[in-house]
Amino acid sequence: MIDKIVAKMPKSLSGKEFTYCPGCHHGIVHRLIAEVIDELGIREKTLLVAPVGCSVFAYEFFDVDGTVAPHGRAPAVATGMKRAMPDKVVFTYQGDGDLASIGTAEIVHAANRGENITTIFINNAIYGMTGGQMAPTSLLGQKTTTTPYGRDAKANGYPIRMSEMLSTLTGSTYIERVMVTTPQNVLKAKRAIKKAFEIQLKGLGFSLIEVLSTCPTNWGKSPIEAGKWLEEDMAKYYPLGVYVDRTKEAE
Amino acid sequence: MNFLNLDARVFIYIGMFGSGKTELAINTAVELKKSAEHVALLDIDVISPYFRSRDQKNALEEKGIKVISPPGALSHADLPIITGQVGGYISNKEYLTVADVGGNEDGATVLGSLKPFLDPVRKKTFFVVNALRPFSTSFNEVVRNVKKISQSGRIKIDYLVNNTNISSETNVEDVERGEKIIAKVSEYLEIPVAFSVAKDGLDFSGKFQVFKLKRYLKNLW
Amino acid sequence: MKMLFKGSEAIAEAAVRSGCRLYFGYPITPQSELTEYMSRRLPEVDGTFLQAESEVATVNMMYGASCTGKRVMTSTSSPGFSLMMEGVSYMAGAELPAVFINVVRGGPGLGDIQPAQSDYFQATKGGGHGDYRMIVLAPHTIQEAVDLMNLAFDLADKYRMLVTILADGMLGQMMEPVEFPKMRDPNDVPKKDWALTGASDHDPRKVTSFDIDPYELEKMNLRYQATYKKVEENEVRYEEFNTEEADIIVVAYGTMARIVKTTIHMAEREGIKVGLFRPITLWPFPYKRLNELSDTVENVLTVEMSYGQMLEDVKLGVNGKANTPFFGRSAGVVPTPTEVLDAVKKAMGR
Ligand SMILES: Cc1ncc(C[n+]2csc(CCOP(=O)(O)OP(=O)(O)O)c2C)c(N)n1
Ligand code: SF4
Ligand SMILES: [Mg+2]
Repeated sequence: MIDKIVAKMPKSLSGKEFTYCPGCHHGIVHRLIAEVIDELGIREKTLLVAPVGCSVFAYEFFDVDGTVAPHGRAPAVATGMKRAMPDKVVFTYQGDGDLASIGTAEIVHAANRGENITTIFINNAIYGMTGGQMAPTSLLGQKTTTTPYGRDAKANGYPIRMSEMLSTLTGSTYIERVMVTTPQNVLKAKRAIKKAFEIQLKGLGFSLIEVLSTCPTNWGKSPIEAGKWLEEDMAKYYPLGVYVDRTKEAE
Repeated sequence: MNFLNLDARVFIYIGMFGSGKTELAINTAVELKKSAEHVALLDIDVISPYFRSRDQKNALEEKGIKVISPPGALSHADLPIITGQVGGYISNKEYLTVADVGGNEDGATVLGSLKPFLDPVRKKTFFVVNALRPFSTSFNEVVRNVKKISQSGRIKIDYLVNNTNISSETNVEDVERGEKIIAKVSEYLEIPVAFSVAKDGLDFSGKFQVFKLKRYLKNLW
Repeated sequence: MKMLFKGSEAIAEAAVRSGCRLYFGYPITPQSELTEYMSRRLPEVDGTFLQAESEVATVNMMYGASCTGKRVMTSTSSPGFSLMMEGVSYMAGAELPAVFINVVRGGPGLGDIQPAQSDYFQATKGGGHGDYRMIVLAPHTIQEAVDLMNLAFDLADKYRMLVTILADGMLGQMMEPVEFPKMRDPNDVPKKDWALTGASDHDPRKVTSFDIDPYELEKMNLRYQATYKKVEENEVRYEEFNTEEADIIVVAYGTMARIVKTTIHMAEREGIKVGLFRPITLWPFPYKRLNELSDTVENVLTVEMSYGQMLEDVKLGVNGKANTPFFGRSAGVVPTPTEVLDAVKKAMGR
């Protein structure tokens, strides 16, 4: 079913083969973003800031002008771009290590300034690229290569809920958490992403879509098991939904 | 320049950043010391990291001028320190006191905190203008600066001072340029001009009294 | 018309005149006046001033802004520059032009806020990771700093490199009369056929410092090295003062060179002819000319407001042809002309 939705190659993808593992959601989210860019007709004025993480090659996969930021700094890079060229559409694509650990200061302040950019935040509760270490979003008890006995709140603190936290900032215009495990929620995710870009196009300020995402490889789960764990464990701790919507006030 | 005629015990220099307040405050203290027994110089510049009155502390204290600045090593810090002594010297009737306040709105804000001490004393506040400094080169800019700074210092300005100069290269035309602008500002804001400043060795006479300035804050070379 | 400017303010105004309309920065003494000046000045010329949340964010905002091909700058002082190093390396790797001002203060660590020159290694030898170089300019007067700003932006654009103006707290804080060049049209800067401006009139462009294929990355590195070589061949700048038939040559830059000029006059009265060799580009360092001069004297004395950092480059330049004594004070203590004169005499065995 998912295959059917994403079968046609969006124009805003370059056609380079994805580097993602089977069952990884990075690829699905890429397609959704590309479809949205196509539908809004903004490919020629979109600038992408890719992160350091599994999606480091995002700048190659999208057929738009793009760059790679230092680990965690995409919101600052995007700020510089947007301030230099306010009429372009600037978006960052960031993992949870990138956004919720090393780059917390940058995302908090970009949101707080109401920076007119869009952030797509891939929360897979793990450091994918570097081989499955604990992320600030890893669940309690989750085994990773740096929490071999499971994540322990005493030693490692608690999984951080970024959407909730960022939604407390008056500068955040729109924040929603979605997942892409079923055709229904894929459609919802796409609608959310589209809304986020539309908000930027209207100049209404900072928008962020958090996508709960699988990492079968580092979770040590088959794609089907991974999808199940995501829906049953992750989504329980990270409830889906719209966390803030200030579009009315901003308009 | 005869400051004793001004019917004041406390002389306050405010103005834009880099307008020459510190040099003027030092010169004023030295001038006062010629005829008064007790003179104090208050360094309440919380803005500038270098080139402050406190850097001349030893030289001035040799002349018998009391310099009040943050103690010891703290005088090299970029901390906004106002010592408790400051209020004391403002109130002390034995002393003629000169206050060197930091530049711009930010520097003048300090005066607000000293209001309880300043309100009851006889004082004159001088607004120093160097019309060859950035953001001070036109009538409009100077008017805006005077308004903003007197607001943030919550203090009435009694006199304007023309300190238009480009340091060692200053010539007569430079000072005259400042006189022109400041005369206009004076008329518009109805604040009298106390004097024009001319550095030692510059033969200048103009519309206003002239205060000959000796340079104390020297470069190392 | 000459005006009276603080070094920090003058550098800011000169940057505006060079067509820079984008400034990102974070306050730090002794250069906050530069940041404050920009916050007042840039809105007057439809520019963008943004106080970033940190120097880490600052340098990355510069990265983003520079990607669009526009002129961008920041200013900071030592600890802030340290914090920027990751971004500096990324920008160097992505061949993004930008101008940094480092108004150096006493270190290491929090140090103090007094003038120093102890960031020489950081500026000229790296600081960030990887085989990159930055052009480093060292003005010794405020007028020179103003005059070097246009050059800084032009060199950055021409070579797609980072340029650092290495000043010290003294230059940043003192006031001098200055004259500014004419305002340059910010749109009248070299065209950048690599800039990210939206893939409307070009195929999608990518600006990165990245290639996981070592042979490809090596190619990128060789390209950087070729650029650096060109800069070394064409952009060396220095000043010689009183060096002809000098009894001794003193090498100094920035504020220290100012002080040495006073020493020269003092020495003259004692019958010693002191020559000053003043590198203006600290990278590329004027090794060649210094080597030639070393034939003419027995002693090449290095004087720094640090403990022998530039000395290493002086030794490379002199290459054994003369003695290379050293005198320096650091941590915010500035050597006086008399102390330098004593060092001169000591070096000459007087
Ligand atoms: C300064 C710095 N520290 C560490 C790294 C190594 N590193 C690369 S990606 C990464 C974590 C990536 O995790 P995440 O952001 O969650 O992305 P994912 O791979 O899971 O999509 C780390 C630690 C780096 N590139 N730079
Ligand atoms: S390691 Fe995980 S996050 Fe990275 S591509 Fe593979 S499945 Fe996706
Ligand atoms: Mg991750």
